[in-house]
Amino acid sequence: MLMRFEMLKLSRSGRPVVAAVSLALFLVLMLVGFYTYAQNETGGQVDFRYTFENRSYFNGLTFAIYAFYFGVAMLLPVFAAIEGGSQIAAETAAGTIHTLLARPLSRPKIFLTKLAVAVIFLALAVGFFLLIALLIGLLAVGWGDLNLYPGVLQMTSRPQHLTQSEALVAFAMAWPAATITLLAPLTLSFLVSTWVRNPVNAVGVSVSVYLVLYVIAEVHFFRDLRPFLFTSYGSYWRGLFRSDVYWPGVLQDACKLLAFSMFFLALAYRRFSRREET
Amino acid sequence: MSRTTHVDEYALFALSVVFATIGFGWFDSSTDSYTPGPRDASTLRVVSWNVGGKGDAAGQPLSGAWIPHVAETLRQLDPDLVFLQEIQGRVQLYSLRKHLGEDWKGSVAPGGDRRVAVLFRHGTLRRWHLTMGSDRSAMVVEFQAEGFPPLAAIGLHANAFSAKRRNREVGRALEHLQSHTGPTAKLLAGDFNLDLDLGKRRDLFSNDDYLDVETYNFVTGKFFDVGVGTGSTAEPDRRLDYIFTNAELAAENAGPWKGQRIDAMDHDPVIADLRFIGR
Repeated sequence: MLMRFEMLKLSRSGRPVVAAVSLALFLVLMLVGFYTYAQNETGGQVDFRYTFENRSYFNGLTFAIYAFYFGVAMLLPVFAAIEGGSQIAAETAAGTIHTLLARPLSRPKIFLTKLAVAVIFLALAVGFFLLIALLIGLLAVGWGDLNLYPGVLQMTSRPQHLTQSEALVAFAMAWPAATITLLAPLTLSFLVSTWVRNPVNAVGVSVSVYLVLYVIAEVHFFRDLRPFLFTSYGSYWRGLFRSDVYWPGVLQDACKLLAFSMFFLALAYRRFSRREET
Repeated sequence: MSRTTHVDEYALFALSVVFATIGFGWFDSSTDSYTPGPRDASTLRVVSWNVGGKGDAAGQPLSGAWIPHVAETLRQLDPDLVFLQEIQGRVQLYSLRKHLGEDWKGSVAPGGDRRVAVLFRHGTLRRWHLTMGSDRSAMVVEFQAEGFPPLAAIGLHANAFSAKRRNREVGRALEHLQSHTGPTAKLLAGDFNLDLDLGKRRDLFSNDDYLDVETYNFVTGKFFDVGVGTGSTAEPDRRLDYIFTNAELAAENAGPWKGQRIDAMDHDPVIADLRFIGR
C-alpha cells in the first residue's frame, strides 16, 4: 500500500518526465556533437598523418557507449541526487512526514519504501537512457561490431573488438552495473536528505558534493585520494566492454561501490530512525 | 527506538563492511608486474632499453660508469636481440661489448651523441638505418637467431619533446616495417616517449594526450603491444618503452624488469619472450 502510494507520488511529481526529456535532449546534443566533430576532424590535418581516427569504426554502438559514459558520469548522478534528496527532505519541508508517522507505519518501513522507490526509478532511468542511446545509434548511424581504442575518454587501455551480439550483451550487463554506480550518489543524497529539511538544499548539497568528489577523482594530481572516493570506481562498468572481461576486477569495484552505498545508507537510516520531527 | 531499528541499522553497517572487505581486501587484481624467468628454448628473447639518464633538463646519454651494470643486466637476461637507446657512439658500444663478452656483436645508428644501437649473439644480422630527423636515426635489422626463422625489426627512440614529431617518427618506422619485404615476422621496439596510462592521462599538466593516443592507436591497429598491462618502464611512473609485434609473433611473457635502473638512469629494460606462430 505504502509502496503504491510512493510510486503515485513519484509519478505525479513530474520528476520522471523531466528526467526522460533531459536525457533524450542530452542524447540529441551528443549526436550533433559527434557529427560536427567528425566533420571538423576529417578535414585537413595533413601534418598529423598517422592517425587511427576515421569513420571505419564509428557506428551506433560507439555512439551509445560514449553517450552512456558521459551520462553515467555526469548526468544520471544529478537525477540520482535529485531523487534521493527529494524523498525525505520534501516530506519534512511539506510537513507531510508527520502525517506519515501518525499512521501505523514504522520508520524503517517508510525509509525502506522510499529507498526502494528511488532505486526503482534510478534503474528505470539508466535502462531508459541506455535503450534510447542504442536506438538513436541504430537509427542515425546503424549498429555493427564495436571497436574501442585507447583514447581521451579512457574507455579501454588496449584495443578491443566485440562483435555486435557480444557488444549488446555487454550493454545489457552495463545496465545493472551502472545502476550500482549510481547507488552511491543516490544513497549519499538520501543521507543528506535526512539532515537537511529543505529538498532544494538537499539536492544542491548532494550534487555539489558529488561534483567535487568526481573532479578530485579525475585529476591525477589527487591520485592518493582516489581509493577513498566512490567516484573513483564509478566507471568500472567499462570493464564489461572487453574482449576478455576480467571479472575479479569488475566485481571488486562493484563491491567497493556497494560498500560506500551501504555505509551512506546505514548513516541515513540511523539519522532518520533517531531524529525528532518538529 | 525499537530493537528492530537497531538490528536493521547494524545490518546495513555490517553489509558495508562485508562489501568493503571483498572490494578492498580481495587479492590484488592488477597485472602490473613482470619478472623475467627462464625461457622456453622455442622462444626468442628481445630486449629494448633506454640506458640514458636524467642529467639536465634534456637528460643524458649512457654514462661510462653505468656500462658494467648494463652489461651485467643483459648477461642475466641472456637475450637474442637487444635494442638500446641513448648510446653515445661506436666507442661506447665497443666498451659495452667488451664487458658483455667476445661473442656479442653490435652496431650503432648514425646521429649525435644519443643513438640507437643493436646487440645480438648466436645469429646473423643485416642492418641499415632509417633517418628520423636531423639528429637521429632508427636502426632497421633483419635478424635470424640460430634455429629460428628470420625477423625484421626496427629499434627507435622517438622525440621526447614533441608529440607531433613522435607521431611522424613512429608512423614512418611502422610504414617502413610494414612495406619491408623479406621476413614476415616483424617487430618494432624502443623508447616511444608515449605515456598512455589510463590513470594518469587525466592530468592537468599535459596537452599531448590526444596526439599520443592517436600515435599509439595507429601502431596497435596493426601490431600488438606485447607488454600492455605490465606497468611503468621509466620514472616517474611512466610507460614510455614498448615492444610491438605483428601477428607472426606471439609473446609468451613480456614487460619491464623493474628496479634495473641505477644512479641517474631513468628507464628499466623491457623484455619480450616471443614465439614464432606456426613454428
